[in-house]
Amino acid sequence: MGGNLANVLIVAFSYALVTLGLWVTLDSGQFSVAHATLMGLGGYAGGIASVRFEAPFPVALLAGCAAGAAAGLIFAVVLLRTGGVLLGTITIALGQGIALSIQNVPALGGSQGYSGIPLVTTLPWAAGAAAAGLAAVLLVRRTRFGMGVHAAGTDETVARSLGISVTAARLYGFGMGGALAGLGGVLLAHYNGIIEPANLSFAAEPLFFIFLMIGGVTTPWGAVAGAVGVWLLQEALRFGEAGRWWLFDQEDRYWILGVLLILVLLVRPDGLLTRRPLRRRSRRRGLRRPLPPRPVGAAEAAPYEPR
Amino acid sequence: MISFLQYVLDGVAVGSLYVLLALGFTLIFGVMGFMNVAHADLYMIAVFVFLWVAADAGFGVPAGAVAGVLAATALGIAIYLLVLKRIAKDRVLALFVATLGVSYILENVVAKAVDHRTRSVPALFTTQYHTVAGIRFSNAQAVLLVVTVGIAAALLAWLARSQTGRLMRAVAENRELAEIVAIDTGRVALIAVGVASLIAGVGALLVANTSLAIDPFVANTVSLKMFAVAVVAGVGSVGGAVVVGFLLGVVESVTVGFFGSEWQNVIGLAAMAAVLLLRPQGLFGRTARVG
Repeated sequence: MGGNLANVLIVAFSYALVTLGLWVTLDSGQFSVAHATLMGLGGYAGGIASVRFEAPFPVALLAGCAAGAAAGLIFAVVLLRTGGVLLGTITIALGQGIALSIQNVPALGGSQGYSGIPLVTTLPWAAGAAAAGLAAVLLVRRTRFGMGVHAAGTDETVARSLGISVTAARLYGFGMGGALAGLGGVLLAHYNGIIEPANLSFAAEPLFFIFLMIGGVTTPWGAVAGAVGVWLLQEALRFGEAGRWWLFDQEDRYWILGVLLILVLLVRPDGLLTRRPLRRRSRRRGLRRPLPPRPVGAAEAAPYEPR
Repeated sequence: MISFLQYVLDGVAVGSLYVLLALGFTLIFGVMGFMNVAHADLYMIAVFVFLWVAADAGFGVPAGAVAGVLAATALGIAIYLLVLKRIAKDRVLALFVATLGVSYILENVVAKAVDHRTRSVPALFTTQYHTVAGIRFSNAQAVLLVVTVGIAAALLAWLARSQTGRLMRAVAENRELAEIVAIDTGRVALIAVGVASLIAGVGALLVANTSLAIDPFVANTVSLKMFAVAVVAGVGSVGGAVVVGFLLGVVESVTVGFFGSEWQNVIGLAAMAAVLLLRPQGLFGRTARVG
């Protein structure tokens, strides 16, 4: 079970990176339904770096990361003029179009997929990459720019009127989201040894939304916890060696996850982990400091009126 | 020239499916304001119920057809009442993911029930081929086309003339104002879902009658065409969906005929991306949707 659990965790952490990328993009106010595609592009780029150029694994990881980020930035530029549900619909079209185009490129293995990728993803690499990704997202989140991205995602008009660059927020959302998804894709490609067009298609998309919505859509921790937790759960639903338990067998695990998703959406629409509201956070961190003592005599000149 | 006309005719038949699915999808989108990904799965469910009742249980084709249409309608309404109605309307992400989840459940339950295989579907009636002036067509295609045009015309007339149709257009135009003038938006949404599901069920049987095969994951390809038609036409534009649906079918069929089938699925998506960049409200959309 030890080796088996390690393998499960490798996939779980790779998916956690993709889900984290999805969270970053959604948080910037862009309703992306194309993160499986960004993940797959990263996987192809990393695979090509490893196979064609015989690059060491860290270089392949960087290549996938860069490919995901570049594709994400292109998406963001194409989508700058749209928003909301329409934006989501175009991402479906872009993603599916890319998946179908790759299928028609013989150099990339066509619909058979790009195979022969060295199996070098180990648990420390996957866990390390996931930790680094989460740390990066949490760090940006604490900066002024990160808060601006969140503001732009919450209300574009208000954010713009406050002098926040919505364009920068959108580019960050898809660029960073794509980089994280691409990184996850490289890890998966070097774990499976192959990356196929089917991995990029619209059909691969629901999984990441299941992870994210169950884990919690308001915080990066929810994305990571959701991916790891739900992936471990679905492995547990394989019911071990026997492959069945009571009325269920391992084929049932997909729809059980779907039912779980619907239940979470109905009972706790923000997911299991939620973010502490911003106002309470700021008070805790002491941003609302007590007013400085008034200078003597100032009270008469300008009476202070507490609101 | 003959082959070109042949491709056009085949394309019109394929386009009928796109029209029938996009009608319901765009109706739901217009009235409720979100993408119902699970709508394409009603197509799959209708055909499988037809298959089970008509062939596997042996009740015959007419009983199977009725059961298939009823199953699609009941399921569409059940999804609305049990899931979509219970999620706040402004949570677009949650609504979208909920329909994604419903579609994931339906597909995997059916896939398990049929062991992940493509099943062949019994014909509704005996298919006969006719050749007129060198162009070959079947009576199944003719019936599909006639019924599609009939349903589209009936739906357009109903939306334009009837009291319920007017209420529906009012809700689609501005939900808050409709609520202020005491329109029961929940009831209107329920009717829209019921009608859309009914159309999907009828269309499913007619299309299965020309393709004679069904697989549990057919919705993944079908739903993309559904998005493409609805978005190119302009979301909420029922008349536009009819025109664009037929157009997409014809363009696809002609492209496949001259360039090969691997490009079939790219066309709709490319058209969708192009339209959204140049005219985000769609070809037949009146105003740009905000947000």
